[in-house]
Amino acid sequence: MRITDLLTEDGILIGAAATTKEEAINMLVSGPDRFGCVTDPAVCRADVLARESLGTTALSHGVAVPHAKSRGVKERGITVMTVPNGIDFGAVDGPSRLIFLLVGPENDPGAYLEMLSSLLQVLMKNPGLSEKLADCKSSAEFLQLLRDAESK
Amino acid sequence: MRITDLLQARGILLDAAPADKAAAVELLVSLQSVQGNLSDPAQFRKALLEREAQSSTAIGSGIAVPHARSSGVLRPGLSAITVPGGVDWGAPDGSLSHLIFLIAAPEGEDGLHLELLSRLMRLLMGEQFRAQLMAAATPAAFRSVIDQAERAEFPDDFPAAAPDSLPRVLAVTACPTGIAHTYMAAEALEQAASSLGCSIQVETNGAAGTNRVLTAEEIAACAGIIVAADREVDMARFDGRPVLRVPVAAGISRPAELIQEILDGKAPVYHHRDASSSQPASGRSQEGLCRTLYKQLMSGVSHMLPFVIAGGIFIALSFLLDDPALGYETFGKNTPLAAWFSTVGNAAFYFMLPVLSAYIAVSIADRPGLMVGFVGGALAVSGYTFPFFAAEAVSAGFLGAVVAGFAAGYLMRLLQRPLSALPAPLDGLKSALLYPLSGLLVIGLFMCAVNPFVGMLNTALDSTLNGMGEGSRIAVGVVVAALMAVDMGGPFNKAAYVFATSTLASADSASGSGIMACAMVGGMVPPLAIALCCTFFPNRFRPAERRSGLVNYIMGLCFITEGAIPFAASDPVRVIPACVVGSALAGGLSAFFNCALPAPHGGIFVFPVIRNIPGYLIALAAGSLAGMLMLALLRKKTVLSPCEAVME
Repeated sequence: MRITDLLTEDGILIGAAATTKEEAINMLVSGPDRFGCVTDPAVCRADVLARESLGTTALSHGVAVPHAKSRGVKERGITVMTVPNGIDFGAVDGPSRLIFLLVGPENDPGAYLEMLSSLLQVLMKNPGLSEKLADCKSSAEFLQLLRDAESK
Repeated sequence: MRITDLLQARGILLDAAPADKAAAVELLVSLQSVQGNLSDPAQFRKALLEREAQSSTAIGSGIAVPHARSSGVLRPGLSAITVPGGVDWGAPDGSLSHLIFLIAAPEGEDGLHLELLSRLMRLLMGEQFRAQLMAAATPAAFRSVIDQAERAEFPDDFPAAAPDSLPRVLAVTACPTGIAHTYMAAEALEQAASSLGCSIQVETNGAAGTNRVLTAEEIAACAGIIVAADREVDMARFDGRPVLRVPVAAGISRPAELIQEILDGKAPVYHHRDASSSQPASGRSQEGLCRTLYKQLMSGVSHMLPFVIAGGIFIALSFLLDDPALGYETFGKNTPLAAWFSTVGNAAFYFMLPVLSAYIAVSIADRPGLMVGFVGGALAVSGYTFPFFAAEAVSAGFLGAVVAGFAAGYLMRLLQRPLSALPAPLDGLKSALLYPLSGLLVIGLFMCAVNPFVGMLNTALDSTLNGMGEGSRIAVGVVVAALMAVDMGGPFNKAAYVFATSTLASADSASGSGIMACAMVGGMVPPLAIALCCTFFPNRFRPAERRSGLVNYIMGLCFITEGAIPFAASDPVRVIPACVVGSALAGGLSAFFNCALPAPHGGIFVFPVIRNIPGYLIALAAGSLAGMLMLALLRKKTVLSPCEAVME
């Protein structure tokens, strides 16, 4: 399963204007025309924030991966935003500039694990990829870069 | 439906130079005939030219793919020519065609030629493919280029090895979080195997479950198994097969090396040992003498402990429930209830030392040692000796019992040799009469001879311990408590504990032993220190460690030092010194406050019978807090790996 199978150009927000992690999560969940798999944004957002409060989902190199299994989601999906100045997600090495949101429905527990697995693998196998993605100027560029990395 | 199945080498002409399209067509049709594909070449040519008349089959990039379905075709096939000089095939952009494939399909085979066509076109989209074809030196090389491209582009058409051929190498990958490294290692191993030309099957143990579990058949038939795991994996199934156990990182960084090791037969054969299986007696010669003696002693101690623990607690309860005002001399037996506890408890306590000797002897000499050891221990306790030797019987105590146990055991082993010379029918006589009789005779003599000396030693030890000045008392307390924390269940811990329980035998029953109190508090501190550190300094621990921290509160309060073992095992350099410091402080304070404990176990449940409860509580609290602070100081903030961060 590849990230680029689930990620569409519409789901990529370049240069988002969020300043806090709550804002970022809000923007990622609620873009209505963007994220078709969310049936109830309020519930989905609450679940993502609940998971975030258990412990930060920030990784190193400026990547954060908020995620949740939620009633408010009908099928698995991914959106992502790049934030040039970064947002404090609680990472040890500075603000996060690349924020992936992974959601899965409640009846598909393996869903977000698989997405997480694919994402982590592609990031681990391609050092420097996260910086390049965060610097992308357009969603098309972003998607292409990620596709290339995944098909290697 | 593979292209290479339908294109023989003799159907290919390289570096052809037809004058025009018609000549090229002739060439291609003859190449079909040569392969035996045509029943009626004329018919086929006609259909072909009709098709060409509809629209040119030149598709640009110098390629042309003429094709036709005809009754003149016996069986489907392809032919091909390369024309370096090019031929005008009527391409839309006017360019010449250099690479021409002809597809012949029989009448009625509806989609066949179209499928071949689409397949061919797909391959021809590749610029590199086209270049390689043009550069092919021989028809065989030409075919080989197509073959490789087909394998890459249409792998499903190339079935794996025959169903009854099993993978040569097996692997299991398992990383602790199971979301990334497990799969990365699997991928790396699969790629390495394929480049080594070797078949492999990988079982992945991931967070979402185990994929592709290895079958018994595969395990039996393979050359070996690579277990690239950072956590427990089912190993019993690999018993008797070559296994390479490596960390997951090795699977990711050097998969080819690992596979090669298996193929070269260099992997050691794995023998699965059930954790609960006991050591065979024949293994003795391989272990050191000290280790053997230690194990024999511990066997005796482990049988003795229930007597001490239950008996000791009952005796302690008898004092708790009694009223000293009713009689100081008979304190503990004044009320009927107290008397009951006291009598029953003493009954258990009484057998403590004989049982110790008995089971030391059994671990050395098996059943014949039981009675001899038991009586030896009883004799040690009584201190009985020859009348001419000493005036009064002095109990040889704990030491005497240990001596008796070893003496009995090795004595019986010695006896086994001469007695084995007896004829077989007299075997029954051996265990029923000869062993007991001779054993008792020898141990009786031995103990009577030895008792006075050991008794002297015992008395000296007791009076030293009891008569110690405050300074040395505290020092002993510190040492005993510290030893409890040094290896948490290992030899030092056990030695300190056994020493402490032995002091109970000669201690004042009412108040108990100060050393025992130090030992217990020393054993309670490590788990409590860890639990406190997990609560107040959580960032020193990983999430999984933090969760087991809570359990350690209970373990510590119940005097189960073992709760600290996982932490000590994973980070001995920091955890053990911190615990030792905490325990030592607690032990010192316990001795300073003159605390004493009449029971050998029970943790918080026997606190009521401790002498100077407030002092003991202070000792426990101070030691635990000290341990917690030391641990917090020594441990740094944990940095989680990306996988751990998200898997919380």
